[in-house]
Amino acid sequence: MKIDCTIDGKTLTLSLNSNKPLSLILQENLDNQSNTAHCKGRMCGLCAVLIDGKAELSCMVPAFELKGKNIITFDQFQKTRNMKDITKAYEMAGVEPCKDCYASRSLIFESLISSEETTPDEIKRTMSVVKCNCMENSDEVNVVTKALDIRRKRNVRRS
Amino acid sequence: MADRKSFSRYTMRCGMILRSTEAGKKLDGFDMPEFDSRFFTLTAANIPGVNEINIMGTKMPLLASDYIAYKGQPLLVLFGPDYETTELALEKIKVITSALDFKEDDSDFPDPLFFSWGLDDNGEGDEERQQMKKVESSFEMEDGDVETFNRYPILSWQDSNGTMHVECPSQWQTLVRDTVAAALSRSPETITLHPDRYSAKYDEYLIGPAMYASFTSIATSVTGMPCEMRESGVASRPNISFHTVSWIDKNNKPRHEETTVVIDQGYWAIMGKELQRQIMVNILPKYSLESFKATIRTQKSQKKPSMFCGSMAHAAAMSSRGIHTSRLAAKLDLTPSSFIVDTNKDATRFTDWAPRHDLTDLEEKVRKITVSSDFDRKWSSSSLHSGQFGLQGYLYGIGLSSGLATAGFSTTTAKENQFMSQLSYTTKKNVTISGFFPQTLTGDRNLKETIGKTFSSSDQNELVLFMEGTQKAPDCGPDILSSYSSIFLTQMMKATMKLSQLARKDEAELPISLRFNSQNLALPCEFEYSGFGTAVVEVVVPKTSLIPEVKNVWIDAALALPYVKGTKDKIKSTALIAFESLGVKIADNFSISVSYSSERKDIGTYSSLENLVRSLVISALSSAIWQATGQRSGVKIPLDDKEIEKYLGGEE
Repeated sequence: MKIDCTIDGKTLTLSLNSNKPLSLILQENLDNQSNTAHCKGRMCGLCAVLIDGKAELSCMVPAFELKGKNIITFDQFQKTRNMKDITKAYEMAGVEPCKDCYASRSLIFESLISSEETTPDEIKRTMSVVKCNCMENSDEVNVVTKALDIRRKRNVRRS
Repeated sequence: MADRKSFSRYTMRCGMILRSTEAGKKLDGFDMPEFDSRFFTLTAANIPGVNEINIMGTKMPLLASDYIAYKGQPLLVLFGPDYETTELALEKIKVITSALDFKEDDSDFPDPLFFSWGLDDNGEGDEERQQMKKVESSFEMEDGDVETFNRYPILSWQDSNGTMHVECPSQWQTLVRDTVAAALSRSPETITLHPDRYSAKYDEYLIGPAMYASFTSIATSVTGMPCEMRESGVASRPNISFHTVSWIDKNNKPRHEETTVVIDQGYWAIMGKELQRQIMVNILPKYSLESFKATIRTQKSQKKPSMFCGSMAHAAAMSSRGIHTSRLAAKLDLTPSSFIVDTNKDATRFTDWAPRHDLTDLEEKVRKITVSSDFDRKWSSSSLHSGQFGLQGYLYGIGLSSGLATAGFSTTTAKENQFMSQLSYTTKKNVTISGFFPQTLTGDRNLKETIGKTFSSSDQNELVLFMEGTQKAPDCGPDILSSYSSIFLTQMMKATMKLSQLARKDEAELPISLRFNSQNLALPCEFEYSGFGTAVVEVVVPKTSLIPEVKNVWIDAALALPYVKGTKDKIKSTALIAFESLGVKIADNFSISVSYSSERKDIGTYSSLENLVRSLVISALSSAIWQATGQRSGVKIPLDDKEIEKYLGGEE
């Protein structure tokens, strides 16, 4: 089937099997460099992308659900100012995700920050999709809180 | 050179592997339809060069030719216009097999390794053993392929000059180039390798990229198109089982001991001798014995050959030692901590191979962690928690482990190959390292600072450190424990100091270069230690799920790591990754306490932190499980609920 969607700012018409997961589309059809995870449904949580601003695991999104959606992968996101906020928050919190989950975790953080989520339980629940153990729950809450502060200050300066 | 980025995915070929579903069969051929010109089928028969991969002297076929050695062996590779079409086409291929008409032999496997002292002429010890108390322990690290969640692309293309370009994420770059050259029947100079960054949590089966690069290169040379494959990294570990028996005299002192180790490395024993030696070094007891006997046997099986990368043998052997120590302590009605402190006093020198350890610091660590974790009290009162006296819905166990961090005993390959590095101070006042450079050290932020300080640079930001030429790095797995990475830093820092002295001279004409050997060939023995650690792990096993949950962890370590930034985080993450691979759950109220000191004087010897933490965690956890399940059985790793149920059923 033919699917029209926007991936990393490019409007594409993809000709694909309707049930092909987004993670494989990104890897095999678009040669996406940031997304190499392929857990075959074991929910590793390492393949997050932003779909219309909300973080979702790309291996759980079939091709037919992509119609008209705006997808941002870490390839594109890492060049944005929003990512700089998160990097700064990592530095301030004194933690950094490992190489394996850096991309996925950062995108999920962005999803939480953009929705201004500050409840520790909700942050822990959302972050629990990433099965990598390189970061503790308290650090995750810390990063989100710090990044939100940075984002608010930046927005105030801009306005 | 053909630009890699300019490839259109419409003019590429994508490869997929057909793997065997059975082992120990004769491969008669394939039943496949006529594929059109968009497809290319690669079998053992149409490999232009040698159908072989040579890893440290062990030769394996790239694709099965006459017989199928193990389940999952690559039989055929199909290249098609895209992955979806190729996958559908691959389903149409059927493998024709028949019964094997020859008997397999294991003459290429290493002979059993024996080591003993104090035995009588019969080699069996004396009869007084029969009057002594006997303590047995068994520990098994099950084999298994741990597939990582990452898929690595392997890409080949050919430029107008006929040079084959290969892009793949391997740290065994010489192996990739040589395998591709042999498979294509070309000289290695015509192959250009573009190594991708490689990071892995576990020791991975690093042979894969070399094999896949050969497949894509052959397809490229035949079709003339860029060819790509995407495969997952796999950590393939050998099955290692330990069985240890000790005899204790009337004074409650261990007198005799026998250990039997059986290794199952699969169909080919890659670096089998080295694996045996690593185990032997680490199963030596750290207390005095009248007699000791160790036997390490490698057996052949129809399984995927497993590659070990340092930590496997070391961690498994050290864990078995930790587990046995807990058994001995329990038999003597002592806590493991008091047993360790008690028996370490009269530790003696065993062999030239493994020198006597100075265990004073280790004893101190054991005392410290016992106090901070309240281990002795918890160990003694475990029966109150374990359900015998209460109605708690869980079983409880606590385990302690202590051990030495070793550095630099990857010996046979180290002596066969010499690796040189060059350190240069350039006209732009940059420092360049070329030649051999262990990839484990790449990205070490503090390395630049240390070199900067040596050159007394006022502003360290001015100093640019180029680390080039990792082409010759032979074994740089994530948890590698080799003489290269351990000795390299010592040698490099000496060369840096010399170079800085030369650069400071007034008549010095830049650039100045120094060549140094990446290893210290004058090492008196092949085994060194440079650090120690202790760990306590607290576990509960809910009676409903029987899946062990780690509740609290205490780790105390002192290592001779030259750079200590972020070490605590590294210890934490290594422990968590180890738990993940051992099949235990992390409890909701989990806490981990890490204390670390770098007071070791032998700074410059790069001991493996991962090895130490991994082995401590395995043995402490196993001891805790053993205590929680009523001390009935040996422990098999990774743990699962069925195994626990079996232990609770009282099976020995």
